[in-house]
Amino acid sequence: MEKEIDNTPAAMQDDTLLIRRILDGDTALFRQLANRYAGQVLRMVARLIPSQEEAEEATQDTLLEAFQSLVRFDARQASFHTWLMRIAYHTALKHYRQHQKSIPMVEVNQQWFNTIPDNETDALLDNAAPDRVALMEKAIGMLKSDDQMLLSLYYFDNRPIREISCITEHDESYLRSRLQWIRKRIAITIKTFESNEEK
Amino acid sequence: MKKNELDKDQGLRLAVQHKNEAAERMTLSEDFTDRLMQRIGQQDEQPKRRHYWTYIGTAIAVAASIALLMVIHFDKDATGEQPSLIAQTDTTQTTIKKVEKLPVQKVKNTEAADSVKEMKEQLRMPRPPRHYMAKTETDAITPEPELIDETELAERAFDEERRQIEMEMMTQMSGSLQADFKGLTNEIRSRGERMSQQVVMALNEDE
Repeated sequence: MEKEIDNTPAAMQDDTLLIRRILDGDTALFRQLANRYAGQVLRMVARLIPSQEEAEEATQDTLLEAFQSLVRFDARQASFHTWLMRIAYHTALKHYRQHQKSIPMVEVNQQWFNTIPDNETDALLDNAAPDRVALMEKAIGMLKSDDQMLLSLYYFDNRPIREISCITEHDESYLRSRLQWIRKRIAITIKTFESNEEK
Repeated sequence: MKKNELDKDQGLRLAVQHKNEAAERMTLSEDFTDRLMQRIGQQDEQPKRRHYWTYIGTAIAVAASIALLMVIHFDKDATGEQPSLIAQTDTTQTTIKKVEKLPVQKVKNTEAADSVKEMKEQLRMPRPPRHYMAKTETDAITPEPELIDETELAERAFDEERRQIEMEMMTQMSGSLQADFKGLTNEIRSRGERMSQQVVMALNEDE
C-alpha cells in the first residue's frame, strides 16, 4: 500500500521548491527527491518486473527520465509523486514488453461475455475463499500487462480513477469501462477453470 | 472511489494483494542513489555539449546560406550590368529576345547591336567562334517539361556549373576581346587603304 506517500500540501510545496532549485542548477539536490520516491517507484515497477536487478534498473531509468524531463513538470496538473508514477508506469510497461515471456493462455468462451449476468460476476469476485482467490490470482496473471497494472492501481493502491487517469494517460470513462471488462474477463476465466476441472 | 465500492470485490482485492506481495517486499540496494547520481552526472554534461554543437552547426548553416545568396545576387548583378561582348555581337533573334526582357539594358544592347552592325558592314567580320555562341543559343531554347532521372540531374548540374565558369571566363575575356577587335579593325582598315592605294597606282600605271 502507498502508506509512505506524503501528499500533504507542505510536502508538495517542498517538492516544488526542490525542483525549482534543481532546475536552477543545483542538480545534486535531486538525490533528496530520489531518496524520497525511489522505494515507491521500485514497488510500482516490480509489479511487472519480478527480478530484483531488472526492477532496480527500471527504477533508475524512471528517475533518470524524471530528471531529464523535470523542466516539463507542471505542479498545477499533478503532484510530483503522481507525475513520477506516470513515468514509472510507462517504464515498467516498456521494460515488460521488451523482456516479455510467454503468458499462459486459456481458451476463454467468448460467448460468456454476453451471457454471464453482472450479479454473477459480482458474486464470483466478492468470494474471498482461498481456493477462489488462488484462481483469481492465476486469472490476473493471464491478463495483459497494462490491465494488471490497472487492477493494482485501483484495487491495491486504492487510487481514485482521476489519479489513475493521470498516471495511465487514459480517459476516466475508458478506465471505468476497462475495469468492468477486466472484472468480467476474470469471472469468465474462473468459470472456464472450474468447468475444465469438472471435465 | 465510493464507499460501497470499497466493500465490493473482496476476493479480487485479496488476489491482487497476494500478487503484489513480492513486489512490496523488494528493497533498493544501498548504493542505488549513488549510482543514479553518477548516471545523472554523466547525462547532465551530454545535453549541454549537444546543444553547443547544435548552435555551432546552425550558425555555420545560416552563414553558408547567406554567402550563397550573396554570391548568386552579385553574380546576377555582374551579368546584368556588364553584358558580355558575345551578347553585344550576337544579332540573332535569340539574343534580342533575351535583351527585350530587360528594358534598362535594351537601349544599351541596341546601341551595341548598331555599332556591331556597322563594324560588320565595314569589316565583313566572320561570326565569333561557335563555342562563344553556345551560351546565348542554349539560353534561348526553352526546356520542355520532362522526367529527370539521377544521371540527367547530375549532367544538368555539371552543365550548369560549366556554364557558370564560361560566364565568368567570358566576362574576364570581354575586355581583351574588345582590344583584339580594335586591333583587327585597324589592321583590316590599313590593309584596305593599302589595297585602294595599289588600285589607284595600278589605274595610274594603265593610264
